[in-house]
Amino acid sequence: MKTVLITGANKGIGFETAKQLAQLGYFVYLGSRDKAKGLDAINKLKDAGISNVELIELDVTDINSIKQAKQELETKIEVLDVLINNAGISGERPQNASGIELENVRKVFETNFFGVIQTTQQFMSLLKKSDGPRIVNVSSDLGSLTSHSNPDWEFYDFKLTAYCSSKAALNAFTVMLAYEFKDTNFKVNSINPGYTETDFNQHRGTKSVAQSASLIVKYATLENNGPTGKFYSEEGETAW
Amino acid sequence: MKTALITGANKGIGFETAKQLLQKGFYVYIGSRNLENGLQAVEKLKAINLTNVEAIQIDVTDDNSVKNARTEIGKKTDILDVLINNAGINGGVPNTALEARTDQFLAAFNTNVFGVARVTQAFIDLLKKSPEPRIVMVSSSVGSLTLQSDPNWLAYNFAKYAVYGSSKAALNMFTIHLAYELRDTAFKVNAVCPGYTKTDFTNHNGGEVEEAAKRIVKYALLDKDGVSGKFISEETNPTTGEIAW
Repeated sequence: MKTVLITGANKGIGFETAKQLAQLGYFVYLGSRDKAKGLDAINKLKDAGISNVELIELDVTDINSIKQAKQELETKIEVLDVLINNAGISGERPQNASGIELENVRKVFETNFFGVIQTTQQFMSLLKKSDGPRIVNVSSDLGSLTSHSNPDWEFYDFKLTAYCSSKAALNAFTVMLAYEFKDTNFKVNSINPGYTETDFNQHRGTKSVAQSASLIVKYATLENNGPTGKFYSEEGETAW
Repeated sequence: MKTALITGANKGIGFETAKQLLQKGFYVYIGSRNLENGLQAVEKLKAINLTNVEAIQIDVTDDNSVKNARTEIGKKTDILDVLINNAGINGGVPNTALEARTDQFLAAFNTNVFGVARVTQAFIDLLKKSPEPRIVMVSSSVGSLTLQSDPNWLAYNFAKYAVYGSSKAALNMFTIHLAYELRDTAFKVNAVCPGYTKTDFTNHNGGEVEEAAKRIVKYALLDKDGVSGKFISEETNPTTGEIAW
């Protein structure tokens, strides 16, 4: 049975992704910063008849927590096939460039960027044992520098400095990581789930979590001839 | 007399940029983390008769240092015309996505991204008093995700600096957002790549610092019809300078 670890999987898109991958026959480790919330999520899945799931306590901003999670996972499995770096925060508002509190910027980067890097690096040894390792970095079209430079883009005025620059940096990490693995079976991509109805936007998003999760699942389950080092939205490849 | 502040101006491209702006008649504040190094740079410039210059201690990673620099400059001038965010670090080694340590990423982002935001925010009030304020973010084509994804790019195989490159991508996003915020004003805010240049940064490989500084000065002197919110690398695109993000 293939294995997958999803960070921030206790709710929203992460939770729905866990559900869909479990239904496809993956054994899913749901990463959650908060143990009680993680267990609630597991119980919800079990109530729906999905049993191939388990909680892993994991705070991506805390290297000790990541190391513990890895040790725990190593007692259970030898191979991790898929890592979905889904945990992310949007940061406090306002976020205009000339006025944003730097503490706010740093905090967003802690989770969305540094957190992804340290999580990826820690679980790398388990991923390398897979025949076809997949990493999905959950990004956002708000991290597209090209779109943000285009006044005709529908989200042009969504200038959330901390969030957007953290996702641009994350996309750079995707490119660099994919390059390192270009001669292997690894596939590493940045995926933009789109404007999804979650806590993240007080449920104003226009896409359902099921729709967004299915896009992530698509890139978590790529064939060996699939793309790597790219940035995808539902509509296709997205400009950086 | 127009005024300019350049961070990290005690040596390399920053120093040469100061020199060229002085030659164009600017009054230049040489920002330097270490005041002694800044004073030495000023002496060098005075020795060649460029006298409208002084050193300011500024560590872009330190709130108090930036606040003090703002207070000091505020005593000397009411208006700042040009801010050149030049101070930057390369993040050290190892610099691959898998091996670079989190503390390297943190250090690079502290200087190259958060530091730029801190300095820009601290001086924005003085810049707003200028009739034609200019901000140049010293960026790098290494921060272009488009180039980094293109196997035909000249530096595709040897500029995969995960730490440095991602910090410049984030800086570019900050540039776009700042330019957006100031879009209906006289401000011009651009990210400019000086090119691969012979400095301490590159172990003295690459092109001449004069050429690199010239590229920065050009965007510090844009006229009112000049571009804003763009990513410029004349090394990559000698025709218009503009490159893909």
